[in-house]
Amino acid sequence: MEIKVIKNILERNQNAADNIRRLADENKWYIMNVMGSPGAGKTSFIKCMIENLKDTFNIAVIEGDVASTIDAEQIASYGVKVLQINTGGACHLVADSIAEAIDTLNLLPKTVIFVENIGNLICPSSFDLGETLRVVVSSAAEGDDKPYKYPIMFEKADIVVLSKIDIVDAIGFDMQRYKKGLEAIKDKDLKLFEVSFRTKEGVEGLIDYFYTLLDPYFKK
Amino acid sequence: MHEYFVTQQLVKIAEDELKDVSFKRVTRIKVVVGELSGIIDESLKFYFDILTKGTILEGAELKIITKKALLYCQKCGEYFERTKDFTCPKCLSLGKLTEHGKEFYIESIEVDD
Ligand SMILES: [Zn+2]
Repeated sequence: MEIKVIKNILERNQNAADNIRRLADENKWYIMNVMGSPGAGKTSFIKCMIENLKDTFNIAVIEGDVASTIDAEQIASYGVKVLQINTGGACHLVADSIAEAIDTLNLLPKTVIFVENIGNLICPSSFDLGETLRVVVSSAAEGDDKPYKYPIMFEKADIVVLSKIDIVDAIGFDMQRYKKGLEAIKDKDLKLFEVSFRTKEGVEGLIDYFYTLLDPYFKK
Repeated sequence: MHEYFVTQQLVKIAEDELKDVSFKRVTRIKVVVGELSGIIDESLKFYFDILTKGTILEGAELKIITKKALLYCQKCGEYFERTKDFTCPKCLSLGKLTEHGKEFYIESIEVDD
């Protein structure tokens, strides 16, 4: 006997994510799911955002890492709430662990929550964490072919931060090819920020953008 | 590597589906996996064998049906498989991703009754 099922295997995660989204809506939490390869600049992005937003907004960080606490320690030094989730080998965060983390952190209403996902361009893209915004940090160092190789990660991104643009010329990064790949993937208008967290080039524009997102969100 | 997590989910779904069904054993479970779903067949099989031990799925065959990614050309309407980039083979404009290739679901469960 054959039993027809046709059931999404990620359903349980989806339910947990929907639940987080409901809570976030009630408490006015703005959750950013930050994804990207190891070394792409996810932590630099979050640190830069904390430096520039912490005087205006409540901030908390959920650090996903396979094993270490290196990033969490660095971020704690800014005096913001931070919680480390060690996945113990898993390649992505799941909504259940975000729900638990949020619960543990005992957050104030109106808080910006950065979630640093595990570094890779495949697994995290399949798991909705109930985030308000999906950020993909992609570095020039990884090459201009990333949108073609990992289209789903970019397709689901609300914004793409291309980091390490200070080395674009030195390594022959083909900006046109990179942008063409993104254009093919993104139906909506493409939100691409070209920055270098080292030289600070482009950073101002990124910060301005977050103010235009967060100000009205928290004032509503 | 997230196949560990998803295999756990898969076992749970199967258990749920078979709650009110009488059967001797599960013979086969058919799973549809799109090329862009990020699921690696070998890992899925690996974890399936480990995680089904002691469950109703123990000894069942995991049948994976692979779906290719298809892109859609908005200019000429062609559906095509991606090569090294997203260029339409017919008119050379840029194709868009579609739902083809993102599948990841259990299609059916076969049991001996
Ligand atoms: Zn065409």
